[in-house]
Amino acid sequence: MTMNTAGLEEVVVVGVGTTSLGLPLDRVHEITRPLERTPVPRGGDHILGVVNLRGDIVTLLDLGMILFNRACTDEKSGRTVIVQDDEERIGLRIDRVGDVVELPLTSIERLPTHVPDDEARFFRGVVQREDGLLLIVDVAAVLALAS
Amino acid sequence: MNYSGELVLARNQLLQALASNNKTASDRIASRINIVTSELQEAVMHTRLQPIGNVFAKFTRVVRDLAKKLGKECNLEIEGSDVDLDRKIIQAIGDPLTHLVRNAVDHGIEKPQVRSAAGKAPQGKIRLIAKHQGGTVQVIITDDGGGIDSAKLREKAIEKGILRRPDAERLSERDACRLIFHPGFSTAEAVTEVSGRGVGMDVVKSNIEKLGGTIEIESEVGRGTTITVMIPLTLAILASMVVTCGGNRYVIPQSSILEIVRARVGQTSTRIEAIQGHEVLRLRGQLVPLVRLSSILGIEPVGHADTDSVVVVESGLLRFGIAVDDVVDAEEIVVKPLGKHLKERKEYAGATILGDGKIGLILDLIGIATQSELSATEDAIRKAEQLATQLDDKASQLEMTDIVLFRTKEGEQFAIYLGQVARIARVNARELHEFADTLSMNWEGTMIPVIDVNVAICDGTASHDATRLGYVLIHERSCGNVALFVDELIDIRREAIELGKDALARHGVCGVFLADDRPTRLLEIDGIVEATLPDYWTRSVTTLQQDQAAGPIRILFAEDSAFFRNLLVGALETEGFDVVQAEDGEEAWRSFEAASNSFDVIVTDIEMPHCDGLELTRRIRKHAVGARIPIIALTSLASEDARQRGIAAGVDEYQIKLEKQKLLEAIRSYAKAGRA
Repeated sequence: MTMNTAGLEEVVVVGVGTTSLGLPLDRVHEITRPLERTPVPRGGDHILGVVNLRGDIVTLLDLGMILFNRACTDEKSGRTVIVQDDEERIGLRIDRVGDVVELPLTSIERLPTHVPDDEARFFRGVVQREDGLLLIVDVAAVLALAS
Repeated sequence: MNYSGELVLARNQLLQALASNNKTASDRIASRINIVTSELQEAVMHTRLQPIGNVFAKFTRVVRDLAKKLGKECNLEIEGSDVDLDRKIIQAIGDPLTHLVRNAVDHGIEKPQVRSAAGKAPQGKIRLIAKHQGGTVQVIITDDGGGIDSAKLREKAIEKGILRRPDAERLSERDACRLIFHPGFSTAEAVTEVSGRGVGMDVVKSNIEKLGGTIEIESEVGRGTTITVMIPLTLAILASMVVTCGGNRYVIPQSSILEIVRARVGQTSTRIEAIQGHEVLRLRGQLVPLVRLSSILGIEPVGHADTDSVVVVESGLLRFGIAVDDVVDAEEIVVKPLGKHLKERKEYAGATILGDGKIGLILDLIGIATQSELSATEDAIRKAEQLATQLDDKASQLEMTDIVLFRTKEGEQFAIYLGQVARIARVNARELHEFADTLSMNWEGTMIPVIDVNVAICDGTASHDATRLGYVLIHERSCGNVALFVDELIDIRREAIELGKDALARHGVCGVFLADDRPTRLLEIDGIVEATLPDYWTRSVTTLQQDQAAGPIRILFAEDSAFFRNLLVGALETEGFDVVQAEDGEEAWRSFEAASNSFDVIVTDIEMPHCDGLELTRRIRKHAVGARIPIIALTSLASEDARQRGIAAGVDEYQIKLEKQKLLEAIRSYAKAGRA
């Protein structure tokens, strides 16, 4: 978690479907336009395939599928967020990308208790902003899936 | 370090050149970067290399300690310690090599007194040699010990149900030695502390194959054993074959590929069949388990409807075929690991970036073999083969037969009984006339029908361009001759034919056998005529049927081969004959005794178990009624000697098996004479 002295966290705002998500900036390596992907048969629903990222073979996960069981668009407007895991880089397919925002740590609230656990485990919390809710993603939990 | 400095310098110069838009300068720098990069790559590769001596070093001690423990005397010679290999390979090769060296001491070298008794020096010698060979490194382990007794291996293989006896006996010495790589195979009489460590030669083999290497063994009883291990210089680069399936490309390591075949529908030699619902590839008479990549990966194939490309691979000791949409190209690839989300997928061993920058997934053959029910397929094959042997043992007494061998222009090989061919002539396609969809030619003044084997059997297209040369095989029939047109005549010879069933079961094809190691279909002319010239066939049959009025002719038919029995009984019954079948002379004799008065003609094979045709004839001739009954003996060869013996026994006439038409004529004329 990136935190400066003022107790702020920087997140990249991305969109999946109609939902806005915040990805902690320290986990984001880069954001690319869609790369040509090679499907991996029998890989699983949430695995879109593999892409060639400057000579590295990077697994591409569908963030929409993981979080909401709803596939992200395969169109040009989509983006791929490359996140750094322990030993490798992993691509996350998203629908849109927005700005980098600084959030005071205190603004991050716990998820309402009525959200079922198997959905809630992917989020660190929620932030209420003027333009709506922003769900803060727990990248480690997302990457731990199916590994 | 120099290179990386150079590289940084070049980058700075390039940035400057680009900023000042200096074309010649940037070209010059680009070529320099090119050189520096290649040198850098080579240097980096070199840092991965280590001398194989690092592994060899410990073996001196291993051998000395082990020999002492076993009460043997043994000397280890090492050569080529300075040969360099990829660090990763050095690590991985240690265990398999240790196993091989311990084996050499434990099983190879004999005790000093045994050696002395055999006239050898009491001290055994093991040599460990590493050397470069092409792009690979060879490690050779030789001992001058007792060697491997291949006869013992064969026995063991039969005992363990790995091989059937005839197969085991047919194995070459080399292949018999290779049996030790079979899982669950150990010839050590007792499990010793040394060898019983749970690691068999099968594990050694699969470990070496995992590295993209191969292992070979040669042995001579009393002289010693030589094991040759071939390993690639580096793991990073892999020679491979690129295949497609469902529009995507996949990579198969070339070290595992035995061959690539195309199985076309309708082709006899190489084709896909099903045994108990499992698909298998028939390849030169052998059945190989088959998996379809599309079904393993759960995708839609986009192959050709009538052709399957099959990559035959060997992994561990499992040999199987993988049907793919297409085989694209051979490519040297750089192996890259898959991420943690895909590591668990057993189908893939990794991925690579292909020449065009796209990704190809590398198939893990062992994973695929375990995913697909290959062992079930193997069981099914074994069962089918056992069944086939049982049938064979009963059915095919190998008889020498005269055959004519020929090929079509597509290269498919055929044979026909020489007895069915009256004359052979060379013809030019110009002499063949096409008339109302049938071919005919002038033969000694009359027009006779010509059947193009390429069209009739192989479904080939008729191409009778004037330049096509070929041969006609003339078959004489009572109602007129027929000619078979073939492209290439190979040989006329006497051969012991071991006929296999032809799954295509086409009319006119009796079965398949191997001639000169090529699958050859044995043709049967009546069937071909019936299938290709139906009108002509009906005409020839009806001429014969005219005089069959006074009730059906009753025949006692003795033949031990189920194959010939079915073939001939079918033909006899279509003729309207009443046939009583017998599987051997004994059974025929019982049928005869039971109803001796009712038979018009007796047709018998000569070579049969229990009571052969001659014995049957003698018995019948001694019988009150049997003295006058016509007896026709069937044979596949009619030597004068055999004929004389037959006549002495009381046979009226000899007929060649499969010459149905002549046999039918003979039966008719005898029956007619008998009834008159």
